[in-house]
Amino acid sequence: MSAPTRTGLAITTHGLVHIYHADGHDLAALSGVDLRVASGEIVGLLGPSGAGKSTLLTLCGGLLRPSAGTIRIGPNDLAQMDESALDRFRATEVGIVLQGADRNVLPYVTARRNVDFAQRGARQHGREVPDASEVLDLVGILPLANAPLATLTPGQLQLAALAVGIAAYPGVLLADEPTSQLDHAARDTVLAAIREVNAQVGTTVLIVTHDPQVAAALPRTVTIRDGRVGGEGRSGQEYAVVSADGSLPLPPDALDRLPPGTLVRVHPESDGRWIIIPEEDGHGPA
Amino acid sequence: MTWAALRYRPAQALLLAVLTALVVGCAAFAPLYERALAQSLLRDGLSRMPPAATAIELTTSREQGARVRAERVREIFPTSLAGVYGPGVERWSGRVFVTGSQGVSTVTMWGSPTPCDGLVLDAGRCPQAPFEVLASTAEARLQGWAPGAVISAVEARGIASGPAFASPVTVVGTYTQDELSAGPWAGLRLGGRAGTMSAGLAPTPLMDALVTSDGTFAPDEQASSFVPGAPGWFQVAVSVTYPLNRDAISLESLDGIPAALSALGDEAARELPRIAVSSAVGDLADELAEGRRQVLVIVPLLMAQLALLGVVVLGLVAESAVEQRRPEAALSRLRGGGASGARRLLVAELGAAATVGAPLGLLGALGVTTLVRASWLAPGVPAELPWPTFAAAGLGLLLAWAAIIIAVGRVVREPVADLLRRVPSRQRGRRMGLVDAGVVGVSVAGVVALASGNLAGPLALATPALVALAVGIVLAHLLTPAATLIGRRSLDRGRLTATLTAVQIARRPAVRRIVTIITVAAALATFAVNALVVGQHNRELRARVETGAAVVLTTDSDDPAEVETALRQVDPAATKATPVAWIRQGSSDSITTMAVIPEEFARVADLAVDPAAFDLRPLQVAGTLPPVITGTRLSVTIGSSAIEELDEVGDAPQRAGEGPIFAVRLGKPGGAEQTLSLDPIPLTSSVPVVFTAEVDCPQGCSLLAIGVDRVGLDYRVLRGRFTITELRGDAGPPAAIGRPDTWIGSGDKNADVLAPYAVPGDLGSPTAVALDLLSARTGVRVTAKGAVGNLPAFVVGSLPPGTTSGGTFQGAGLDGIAVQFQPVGTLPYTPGGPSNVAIVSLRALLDRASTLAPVVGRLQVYLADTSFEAPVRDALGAQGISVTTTVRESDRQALYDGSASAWGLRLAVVVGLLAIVMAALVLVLVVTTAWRPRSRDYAALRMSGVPLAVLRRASALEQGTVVVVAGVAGILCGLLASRLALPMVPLFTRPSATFLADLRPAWSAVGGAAALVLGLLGVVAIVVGTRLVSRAIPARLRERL
Repeated sequence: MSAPTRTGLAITTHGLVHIYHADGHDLAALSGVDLRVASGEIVGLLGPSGAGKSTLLTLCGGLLRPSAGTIRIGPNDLAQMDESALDRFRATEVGIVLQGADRNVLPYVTARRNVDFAQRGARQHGREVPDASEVLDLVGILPLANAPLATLTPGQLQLAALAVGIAAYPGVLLADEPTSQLDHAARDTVLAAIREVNAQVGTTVLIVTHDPQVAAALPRTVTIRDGRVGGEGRSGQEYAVVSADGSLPLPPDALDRLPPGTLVRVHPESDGRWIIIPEEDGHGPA
Repeated sequence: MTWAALRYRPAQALLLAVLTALVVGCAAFAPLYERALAQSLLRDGLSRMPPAATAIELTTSREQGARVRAERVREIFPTSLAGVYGPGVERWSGRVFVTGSQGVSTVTMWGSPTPCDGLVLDAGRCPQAPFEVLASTAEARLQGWAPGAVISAVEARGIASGPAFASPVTVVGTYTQDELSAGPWAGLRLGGRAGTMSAGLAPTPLMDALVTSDGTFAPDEQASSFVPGAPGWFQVAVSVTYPLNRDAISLESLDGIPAALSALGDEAARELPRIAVSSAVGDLADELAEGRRQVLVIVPLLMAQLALLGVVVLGLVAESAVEQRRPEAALSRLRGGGASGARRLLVAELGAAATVGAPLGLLGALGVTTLVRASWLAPGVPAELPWPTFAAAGLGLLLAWAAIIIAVGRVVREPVADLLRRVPSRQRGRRMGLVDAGVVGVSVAGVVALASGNLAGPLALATPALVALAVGIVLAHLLTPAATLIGRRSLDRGRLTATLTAVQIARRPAVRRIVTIITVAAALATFAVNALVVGQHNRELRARVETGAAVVLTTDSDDPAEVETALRQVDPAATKATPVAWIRQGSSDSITTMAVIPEEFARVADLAVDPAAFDLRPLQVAGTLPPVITGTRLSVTIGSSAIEELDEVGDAPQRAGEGPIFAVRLGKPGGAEQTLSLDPIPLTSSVPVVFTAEVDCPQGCSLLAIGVDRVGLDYRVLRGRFTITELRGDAGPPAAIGRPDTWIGSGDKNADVLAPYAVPGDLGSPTAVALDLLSARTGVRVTAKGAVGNLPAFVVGSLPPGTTSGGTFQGAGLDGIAVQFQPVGTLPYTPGGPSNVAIVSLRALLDRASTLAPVVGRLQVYLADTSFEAPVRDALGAQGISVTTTVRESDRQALYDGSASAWGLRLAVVVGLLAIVMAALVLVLVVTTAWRPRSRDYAALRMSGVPLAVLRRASALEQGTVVVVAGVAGILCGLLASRLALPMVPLFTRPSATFLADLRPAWSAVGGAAALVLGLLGVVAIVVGTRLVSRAIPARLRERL
């Protein structure tokens, strides 16, 4: 059976805020994230630990409710969806690959049966799903379809996790550190598989990664810093992103030179560029 | 996928299957055991009842002139009983006068179509023709009857007038009745009378029965009974006995017999002549019904609690298993399966494991029932599979499924993000879940209701387990903060082992499960063992109380002296055998007299309960006889008097100056009493005054009491003293009235208030006595201790109607004539007797018995041990005394040990053991299911430098502390449950009128159960704890899948 034609879903967030309660305090994991991922795009989410990358991914998967702002996956406004709608969404529209390959599979059945299991929800909601063999072939582990999972290498296990994530050929694939703890060869294999999925199925891919080499291999990266979009990377270039409220997060090296509280003048040039001119003493008038 | 999941965690699957098997097995075992026990009761009951008792006998009454027909008697026998009763056996009877060597005897002539069945023909042949008879061999020898002898037999018609049927009968043979239970003579004693005399004032010679064919009574042989001179029986009876077919009787058919018997009785009563229906099979049916009712209390009491424990354990095991499957539930939710999909995934796996256990449980129940049938039930109980077994097994499986579904439901409804957490969020603080709070609430309510007597039925039966469950839940919730506190303090003091132990206890959610289950298991084991031993103890005690001695022989003697003579031949020191006499009075509420030799009785009788109460020495004072006066004129000399008048407040003195009237009470031979009021005693006098009165005492009268009487409306209070210097009849010496200890005074002379009293005073003379008195409006007196009728008696039960204001009452003497008893104390029970008894001295009663009247009542011999029975029987036989019945403590105990209650309580052994096994299983399971993360923790501690020995100690202490705390709590709960629930447990099929059950804890059994629980679980805890540490290797820290 040939793969059903799918179109990836666009991801749009506007002012996305998520607050959680810990140790008696309310903490903001996301403080207003504006993000646009076009349909069929592959985007990497970068940022330091605790920046909110995994939280953003989790929100996109409908696993958490935003505290404020909007989040749309394709036509689906996740904040307005009830639990049964979210179940349907997770079954048919989004595939999630959790960090750690073993957390994505039932350890006592083969890769093939794991893919079957992952497709159950979609079948129950009337969605046409590809054959499990096709999915496994797409990620490159068809020969290992019936092998016990305990016999697979870490890279093969990650591919199996990827296959489970795309089992229903979802519109969006959310992958949390899909290449962590893999050697270079395995990492490259997994990335290649992700690109193949994107190319064949058209799935929009959002990947959380710490690995700069992985980031370098992705066409676009978004850096999350302190719960907000801190910058983007495209075609090897790093950009700061002007947020909806007009603020402009500085890259880390600029932030070193211009610490918070520094007065700067933003001066347009005739050629369309804008320059930032810090005050001599670097601080406001007395 | 389900099968793959089961194979992935085979140990868990096996454990779930085993626990479900236990729950299903417990549920299924209850109806299996109930049925087997009922069958056992039936077989045991039948074995104890002779065939004559279970037969149904229909007998016509001896209506004068009525024609009796066996066919009519047979016609009314219900066809519904035809399946379980054999064909009826006819038996005819008539009474005839036969003149023998010792005079005329009234002899019963018995007839049957098969007269020789059940008899041994010692000479001659069996009767065939009418009026041919068999005589007993002993009678024939006594009368000189040989086969062929013709004897005259005139029908004994009593006071009926008219000619009696008289036909010579021919003795054609002689018989001995060897087998009481066989043939038409089942239940009849045809012999045993030859050469004996009847009892009573005019004894007559007795004869053994004559046996003939039914032709002697056949109606065809009878002409009209009212035609003068015509032959024919005037009064015959025919009975048809239907023997119970013991191979065909079943529980169901036995259930129907009482109703059929009742209907038969109603129809028989409408017949003319009236037909009497007799059978003891109704008693068997009643006993069986009562036994089954008791089983329905005991078996569920034990098995339901075990099943409840099993469900709790299963629930907690399921909870533990579900916790391990959080990632799988998360995956299912993650892939859009929703909570229902996750539920289906987990329930399919866990439910499949449980379902596999169900048939195993059913098989196990069948196996245990088979074992029980072979070991402690009556022989011959069939293997049966009653339909409630399957229903109960199904219920057990449903409960197992319900436990699994509840455990799964709680997890799958959690948010997906929480399910995805590697470490579930912990509830801080002491908040109790809704289910836990509900269980605690129900348990507290149940205990209160049970303690106040407002709870009965199934919930009451489960209360002991609920109590332990509630305590276990509360203890589990308290243990965590307590361990946290101890851990913190130990850390401050630098005590590493204690810190590790406390912290481990505080941080493990599994600790709550272990504490709860061990508490319930220990409580159940304690309760079960205590119930078993208390039941055994009470059966033994009751047997001993109701028997009274190791062996009790009832004799046919009416002479206590000859019985005692026989006993002293073989027991000169009177340490092993003693005579006891029982005399009952006519009315049902009268008191029975038990006459004993006090010092012997205390040595020989088995005083099972409260032996210290049986100090019978006060009975021996009965040896003192009362003073006697003889003659027709009584004279009393008042030596001196000093009596003052005390007015009632506000009243003018009445009869001022007049002293109280001197009075005596006399007892005459034969028991009659007479009170004489003589003359007023001077208030103050130092000069002797003599009073006289006519009396009727030529043979001697006993002086029962002396005192004063008051006459008319005399409200004065008179207080003082007078002396009697002589009291005598004109035909005898002065009465021996001088010893104050031979008088029983009344009231208290030294009381602070003015209250009547009469107290004897010593004048130093055997024939003179002083009397200190206070009399207010009525007379006062002192009573002779050794007075005729005032026999000291210990009372068991309440004082009978007619007890005087002085506390004396009438009881029966050895000759049946009333004797006055004076209570000297009470006893808690009568060894070997009923509850309304006066125990007196046999010798004293003998002194008072008339020599003219024979001893009535029953003479028994109490034996201290069974080995003495044969010599005593021989000694009695040598005196010509026969033993009519024998009662042994061992037989009585065997009877109680074969009851529904005893068999039911034996389940306690099974229950106790299984409870402990379950707790041990849980201990092993909870540790082994989490062994990877726990051993990783220990590995990390090792890497940090904690010595292996410290880790071992801490791990062992962690498990051991939980076991000890929960075990002790459980044992205490078991004792509380015993106090609450044991009164509900029927210990006997029939309640006792004399025996009060002792429900105090069997401390030795409780101690044993406690040692077993703590010991076994402690060992398991230490072993799993130390093995866990042995797997704490550094490589464990790198493990993933």
